[in-house]
Amino acid sequence: MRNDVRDHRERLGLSQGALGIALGVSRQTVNAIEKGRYLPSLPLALALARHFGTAIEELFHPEPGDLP
Amino acid sequence: MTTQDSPTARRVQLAGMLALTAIAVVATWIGLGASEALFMGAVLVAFTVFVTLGRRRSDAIRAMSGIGDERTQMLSLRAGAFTAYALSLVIAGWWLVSVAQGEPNETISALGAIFAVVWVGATVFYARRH
Repeated sequence: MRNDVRDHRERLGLSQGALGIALGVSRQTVNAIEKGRYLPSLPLALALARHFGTAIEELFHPEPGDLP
Repeated sequence: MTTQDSPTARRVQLAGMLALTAIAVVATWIGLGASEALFMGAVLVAFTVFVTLGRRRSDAIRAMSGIGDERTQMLSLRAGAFTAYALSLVIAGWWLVSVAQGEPNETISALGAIFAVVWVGATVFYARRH
């Protein structure tokens, strides 16, 4: 699943570590999400969307086969 | 969502690891003597220090500790599940070999039975809970 977390983070001028602190997760977790290696839980995805002032659908973009 | 590890969880884990170390040292001292007990204690203390200090620097060591955010806990859970799966194969294989040799190993038989009962119980528990 593609996502625009990195774009939104960089637009706010945040480092991965700073975003991690704001969301209560590690820098490595933010990095893994941005690279698509880790799909966050729904609560964390909601927290990300709220932090960026956007909707989950604007942040995460399912690819064919991602959805049930 | 599980957030970063709390200091309380870290302290409880450290206390638990030190308590296990003390128990292992006493048991080894009683059964095998002082030198073996000191060696056992040194190994366990080294592992405790490795996890306690290394968790700040390494994702893998943090996952070993099992305390952290949701990804850390997911990694820890998967590693634990993989280890249990590998162990189940070893136990089953070992038991089959001992049966084929005509001398079923009682310890392995008991471990296999315990593994099966715990696995069925855990599956039923989590299926009803989630």
